[in-house]
Amino acid sequence: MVQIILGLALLLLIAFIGHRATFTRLPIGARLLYLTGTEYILVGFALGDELIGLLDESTLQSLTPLFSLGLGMVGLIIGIQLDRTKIGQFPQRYLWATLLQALVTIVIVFAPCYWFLGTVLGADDTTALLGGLVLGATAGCTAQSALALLGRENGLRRAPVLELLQYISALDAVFGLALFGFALCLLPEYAPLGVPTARALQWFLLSIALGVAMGVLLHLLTRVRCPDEELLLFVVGVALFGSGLALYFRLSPLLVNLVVGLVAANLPGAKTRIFNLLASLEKPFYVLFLVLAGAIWKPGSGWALGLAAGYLALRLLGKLAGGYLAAYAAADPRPPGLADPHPPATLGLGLLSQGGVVLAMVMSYHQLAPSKVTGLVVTAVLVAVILNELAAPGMARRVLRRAEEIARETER
Amino acid sequence: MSRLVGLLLICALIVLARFAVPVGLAYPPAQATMIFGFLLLTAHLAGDLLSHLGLPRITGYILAGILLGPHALDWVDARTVTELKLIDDLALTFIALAAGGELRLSELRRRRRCISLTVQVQSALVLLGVAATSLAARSWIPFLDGLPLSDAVAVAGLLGVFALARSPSSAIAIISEAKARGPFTDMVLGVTVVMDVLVIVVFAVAVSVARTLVGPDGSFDVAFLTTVALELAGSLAAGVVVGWLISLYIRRVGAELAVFLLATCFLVTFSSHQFAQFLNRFYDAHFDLEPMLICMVAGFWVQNFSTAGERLMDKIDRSSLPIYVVFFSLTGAALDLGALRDTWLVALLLVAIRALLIWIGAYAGARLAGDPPAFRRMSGLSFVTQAGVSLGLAGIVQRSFPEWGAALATTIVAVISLNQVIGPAGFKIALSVVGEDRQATAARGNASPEA
Repeated sequence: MVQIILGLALLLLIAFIGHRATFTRLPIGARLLYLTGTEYILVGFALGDELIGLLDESTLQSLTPLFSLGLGMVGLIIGIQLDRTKIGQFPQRYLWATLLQALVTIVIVFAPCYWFLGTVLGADDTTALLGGLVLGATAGCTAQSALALLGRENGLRRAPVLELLQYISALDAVFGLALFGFALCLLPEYAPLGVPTARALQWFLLSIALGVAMGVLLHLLTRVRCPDEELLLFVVGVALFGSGLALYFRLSPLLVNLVVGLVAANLPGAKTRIFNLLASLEKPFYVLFLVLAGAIWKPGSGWALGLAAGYLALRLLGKLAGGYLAAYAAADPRPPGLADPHPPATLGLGLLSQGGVVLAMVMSYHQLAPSKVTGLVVTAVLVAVILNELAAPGMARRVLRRAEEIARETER
Repeated sequence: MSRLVGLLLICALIVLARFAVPVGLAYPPAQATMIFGFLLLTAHLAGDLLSHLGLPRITGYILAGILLGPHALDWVDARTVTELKLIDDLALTFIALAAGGELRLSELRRRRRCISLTVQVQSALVLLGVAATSLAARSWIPFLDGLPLSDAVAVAGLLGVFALARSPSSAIAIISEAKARGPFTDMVLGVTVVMDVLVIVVFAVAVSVARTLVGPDGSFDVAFLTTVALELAGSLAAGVVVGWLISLYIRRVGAELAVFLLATCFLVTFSSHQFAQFLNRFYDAHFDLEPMLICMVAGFWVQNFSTAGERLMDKIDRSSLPIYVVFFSLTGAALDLGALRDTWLVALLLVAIRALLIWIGAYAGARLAGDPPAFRRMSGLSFVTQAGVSLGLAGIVQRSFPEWGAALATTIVAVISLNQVIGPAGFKIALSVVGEDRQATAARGNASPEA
């Protein structure tokens, strides 16, 4: 009984704090931390087996469908934003800048982490490779919340560098998620097509095919206008079914549902309604998912903090290097006078915020490949998310100030 | 057409998943998620299909559950149904919250006379009628044949009590689907909820009497009766507290209401089980709080004793469709068709007698209350569906009377299965005839400007 009362009290407390303090009294970094939902992970952790025990293992097993649904919704929300007509409104050099930035960060984080997990911690090759790839993939992602909040608070309208940062942060998660999806393809112990070579690639292609099939299904079910409640059922049903199928094959529900969203976003029909519905559902599903994710989290040993420190430093290095190259790739080629100002070389500092997608990735990894290394990776990423979230607004402000899009005197 | 293609694609994907993955290589916990999503989509499409034939959607959900469930295609196997039990319980408590929230005190007061008369006449007629018929036909009923008269009276009495049980969850699902509003709808929902509470009380009395009749010492089991009374009181009190907390949350916070309601339903379900286990383990006491009743009272409290009722119902309405589909399709998949196969003749007899007595009771009640002729004729059709609480009570009978309890419980489950399938259609027809379903309401809305 004490557990239940404690659990209920904790949930209520978080809700009250969230409501009262989020958008009013806390400094921007702490507000962003709240926006990533890290606190819900901590609530889930408190409710889980490690502390209160309300969400014990058997209960969590029963709630697996809800957890998987949460993962699916995160993928779907990212995918539905990838409407090619909207992306096409921006210069193509932005896309190259995004790709470059993501790849450089991923490589800079992946290689040393792979070495650390395999050589220092003695993990077997697949585990080390998987852990390294997950760390690389999560490092490549950037959240939009810090930039959105900064733009809103400073009333920025015509701000090309902010626009570039927002573009990169909206799209680089796609590369991270694709790599993450590929990493999980290392897990199944047999080849889907029976051909032993390039097994992971076969699974990766199967993930994409599954996503396309589910995307077509969503399109078929929603192309004729249906009431809102039916649309909700179809979206939830497809996310759930897609996640279930992906997990059944030990694939990434995030990647499969990202492709579902991508297909739905680029076919005619109810894409705008689906987008609006997902936008309205994002927070509740996300909260639910994070609480459950926190409950399954096992912090791991003291190595986690060392890994977190290394991961943070490598990611910062990756973002700086990637941002430097991205700034060149995204530079406006028009003659001076017509062209937008050159983005600052420290562009990467504006891309530190990691956000909720990363939490979904590591929790999905934790679900499918639980091991000692997994615990370390999850803890390292969680610590990094918290610290990055606290640092991100200040750093992004520096970049915008250097680009003269925020003037010191007008800063609010 | 595109939905049909969608349905075929869903079936192709599930077949691919189930047959393409070598045994033991699939990720086991994923099965429940996959089946959950599959059931949600197929059951809804089945309901959609049946709605075009004029049948209620929930009949489609139930039939889809039966067809895909362990007793037919086995695409939704028994293990998965068990694994989804917590989701099923969550859905039930959510529906109970909706049922409570639908009960508006002002409407109930207005229909008090009719509700009260219908409950009284139906209870007496159905209980005594089913018991008397069972007793009279005992030589045809295998588990009654050969029993001493005292035992036969006990069994017949319990059959009569079970005939009283209703299904508020089905009623609220039909009302929600038909967007029904009006005095008839209020009366049916009121009677259904009252009867579902009443049946717990009458059941406790009946079990105590039955123990007296079949027990060696013939003493009346007061302890059991007291426990049930305490359980009821405890559930009602817990419901008030939960309702107060929900209304406080809505007024003071309001954010993420859907998550909060889901968490509340989970906590109510979970804590009820934990509380029962705690008392059992440390005090050797059997004391079960009823999560469904708690949530129903909570919904009723929020609707009638706070200013948050409208927001609660708005949130529930917007997210209720997936919950109904999950709940009723799982109900279909979990129906014990084996029991029906073994006892179908007796079950059919009991279903027919019960339906007839309900109709007569409802007609008489409505006539005494001075309701219009359409209400009198149709109200009987609205009370046939059974589920939920009656299945739990069947389990108690099985444990309490080892000699014939199992056979009686099997028959009861078979009767409930039949009523669960045929009942919703009756209610939908009744709503349509009395003019309180969506079409009739819309027609009235169109006609009123001219008037």
